[in-house]
Amino acid sequence: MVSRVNLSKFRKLVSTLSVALLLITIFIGLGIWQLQRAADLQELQKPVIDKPAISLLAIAKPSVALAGSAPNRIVKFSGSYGKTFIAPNQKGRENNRESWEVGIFEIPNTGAILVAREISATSGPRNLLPSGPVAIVGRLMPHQNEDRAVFTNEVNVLSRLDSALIADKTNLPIFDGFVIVQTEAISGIESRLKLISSEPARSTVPGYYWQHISYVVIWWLMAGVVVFLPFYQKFKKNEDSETDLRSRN
Amino acid sequence: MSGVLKRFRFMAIFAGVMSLLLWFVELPIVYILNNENWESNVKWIPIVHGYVYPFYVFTAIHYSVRARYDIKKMIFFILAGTLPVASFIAERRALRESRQS
Repeated sequence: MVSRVNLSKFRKLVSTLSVALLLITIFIGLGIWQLQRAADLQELQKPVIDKPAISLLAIAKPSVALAGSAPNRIVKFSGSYGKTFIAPNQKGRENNRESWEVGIFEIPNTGAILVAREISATSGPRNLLPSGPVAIVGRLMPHQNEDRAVFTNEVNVLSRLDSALIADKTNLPIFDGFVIVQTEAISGIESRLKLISSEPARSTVPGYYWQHISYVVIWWLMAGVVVFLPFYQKFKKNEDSETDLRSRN
Repeated sequence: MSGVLKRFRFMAIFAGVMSLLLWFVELPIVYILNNENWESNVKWIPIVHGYVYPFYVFTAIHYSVRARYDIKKMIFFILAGTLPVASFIAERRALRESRQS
């Protein structure tokens, strides 16, 4: 009889301890995760130092997704412009909305890449892109996933800068991502362009640094509460039994 | 007891107001309206809410121990600070029970 009571007490103790340990592990893990997010957020706020320009072909291949280290690199390549498009409602300096003039840039015998050339002064494409060989230096950006403008079948309008939208507009294989022009030279003479802000693309962590730190405090406090509760339960039981005894006497 | 109850009631109302602001002002602005100008005006809400809640938890535990609540009721009082209206319900219940005892 005694051993049965002890066994059931032991089982209860083991199950309580297991649940408590599981919850403590989860809460401490969530705290560490929030701490990591706070650190990531702080890292993202640091200025990006540009490396020297590199050939596009050295870090990207047509028909292959960009490697993790490729976006934001300054790249150089030469070739010629093909079709022209307008990409409306793009985010420019100080979050202003602007239309960009975008061209399919064809690198001979290699592939084609979308090039955001300059801020468009007109609402429609100008079709005045330079013909002949052009040398470009610009920032390689990851392709856009969300439409910036309402998707339309209108020719020459790109709802987002994504090579998937131009697959049927060139015979060459297409590079992933797009390039924002920093300099464009035709026969060695630099074009005068209304340049697009080529701030590095940053992946975002939602929220604010001190908000994440407060969640670290909350999760670890919850782990502390889980440690405290079984002791409180024992204290409460002892107190209740004492009160019960006193009332009987 | 009155000091403990007062502290708990104050924190329950404060945490409740912050929860309401978080759920019905900050979150819709950030995730539904996507308005960056408004977003910068409400960025204090999640931060304040984040620091108010631990203080609410301390006062809820302190009050629950003093009121000799069982463990389930204590957990309810602790978690009430996470939902917009629950902390107001907890505050009313604490006040009612303290008047009855």
